[in-house]
Amino acid sequence: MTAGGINISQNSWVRKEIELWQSEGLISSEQAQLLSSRYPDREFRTVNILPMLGAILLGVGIILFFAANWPLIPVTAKLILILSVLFTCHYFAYKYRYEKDQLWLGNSLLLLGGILFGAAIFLIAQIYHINAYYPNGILFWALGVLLMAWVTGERSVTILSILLLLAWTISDGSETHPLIPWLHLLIMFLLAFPLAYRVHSAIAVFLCQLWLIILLLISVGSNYEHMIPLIITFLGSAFYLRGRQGEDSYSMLYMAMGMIMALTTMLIVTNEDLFYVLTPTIVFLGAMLVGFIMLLLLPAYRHIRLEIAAVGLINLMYIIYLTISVPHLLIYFVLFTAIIAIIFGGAGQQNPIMLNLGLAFFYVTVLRGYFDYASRYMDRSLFFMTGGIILLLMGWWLNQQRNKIVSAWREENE
Amino acid sequence: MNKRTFYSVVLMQALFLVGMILVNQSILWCGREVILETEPIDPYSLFSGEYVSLNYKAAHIPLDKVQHPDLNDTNKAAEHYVHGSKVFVQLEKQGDEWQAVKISKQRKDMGNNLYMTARVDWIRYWSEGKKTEVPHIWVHYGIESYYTPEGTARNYERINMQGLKVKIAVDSWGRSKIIELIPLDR
Repeated sequence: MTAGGINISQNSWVRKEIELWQSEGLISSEQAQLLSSRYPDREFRTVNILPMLGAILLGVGIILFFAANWPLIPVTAKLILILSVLFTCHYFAYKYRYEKDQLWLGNSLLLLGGILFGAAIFLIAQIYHINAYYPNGILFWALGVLLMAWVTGERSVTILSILLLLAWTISDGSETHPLIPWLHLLIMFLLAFPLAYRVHSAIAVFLCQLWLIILLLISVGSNYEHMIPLIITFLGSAFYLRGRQGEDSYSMLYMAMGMIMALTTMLIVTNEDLFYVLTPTIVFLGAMLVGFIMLLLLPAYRHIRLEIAAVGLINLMYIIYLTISVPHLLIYFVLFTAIIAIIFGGAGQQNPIMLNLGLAFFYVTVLRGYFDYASRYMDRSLFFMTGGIILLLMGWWLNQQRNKIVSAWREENE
Repeated sequence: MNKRTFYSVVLMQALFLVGMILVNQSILWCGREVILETEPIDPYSLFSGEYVSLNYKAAHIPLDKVQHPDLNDTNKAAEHYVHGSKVFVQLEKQGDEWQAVKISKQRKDMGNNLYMTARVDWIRYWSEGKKTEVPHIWVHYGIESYYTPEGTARNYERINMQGLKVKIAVDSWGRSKIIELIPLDR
């Protein structure tokens, strides 16, 4: 793990520790300075965010100004105006970011420049009456901003470019419905994901994940709607295993995202719909098995082989549940097996995110089970009263268990 | 950060914008003027503002009224003209307006006549609220939006604009651009 690859709270903890070591005389001031320089101050500051918000507001204002299509301003004047503002903005962005070392101003102007590029595209679209449905306009805008993000490595510009690409996918998805949207996937995996990693932005990585999920929902949903739960569960499992494999700064993000995706899908979708798309399901099942076997054979994943096999098995059971008529209770067996494994895994590895998410899903699954079964056999008033008591007791019990585990971690660490 | 790299990205963005202007302007410079009949409605675009959405008569074509040299059996029209495929529509002046007279997926079928490129939306056995025996092909030419100053687009819908005409430019590759909406009194 690189020194800069830790998150804000870890960063501030390290800096406090360095101060303590210095005050206790464990390290000299030179050594403290050297160590501190390896962990630069990356704290979230409102003063850094305000100019960014200013740039966004100004950019939106400029877009709306040109969208108003004022007849008093001649077309040529509008074009000259937008192009000169675009150049001026980039000129000062460079000057303040690289020559005057005023990062906050330079970055805000860079972000504003990205928004202005879009304003220019849509102004030209307006002048030449290019169709209002214009997803390509958003794509060109996104690619221009993406290029700038690659060159400068600025996070806010990266986030803007990924948000635009997400908007392009949603806009394009309402018109075209290919099963494999090659262009979207190529841009995502060759340009967007690597950029998000390069600029060390968890928000950008999260947005890329979200973009991938939405892209799959659109492409699979418009061709094989019944397969959506299967795809999301599989993708969630892949995210989870990616998170469990490494110790980098994004492992938590992948793991949490993966757990939420897979478990929520299993909780919500319990219809036996895959029977209607049996052939594609079998093809997907084959691809999935190959994927899991490849993961098992990869040396980088050797330390989590057992977990890969368990996740593969849970996926398989869920597919069986969605395909053939098996007792409804099976889904609860699958869910509780997965959730208990997560809780034990989280407790054993002192991983608070795994533990908390596992407990939260345990709570929701019990609740779902109660609504599924108890409502059939109980009087309505009794059903709600018992439900309330169960919720209260279980909330108290789960909290007790969580506190016990966390205090055990503290004792162990001390 | 290399200054040259930074400004080359800015320059690429600017070149893209200039290219976009030239591609569109070239149609207006080199194109032939054509007048089409349309019906407007007034939606709003987030980025480009208010516009009049134009529904051209030449955009829904009954296949029995036009030639379709690349399609022998009109019952197979839906398989032939699939959604999103590119087609060429030949136009002919009839009175003051231009009407669609031929449709094909092959550019060579257009000969030396004036034609517009379009994309297929759908094939329907439906026209003007009634079922039809013959399939109608619905296309779009990419000139279905006419942007107006803020607050004015609604005027086009409020008054009875049936029969509104649009002057467009069509170049020799079939690309088209709107020049102006022609008011009713003209």
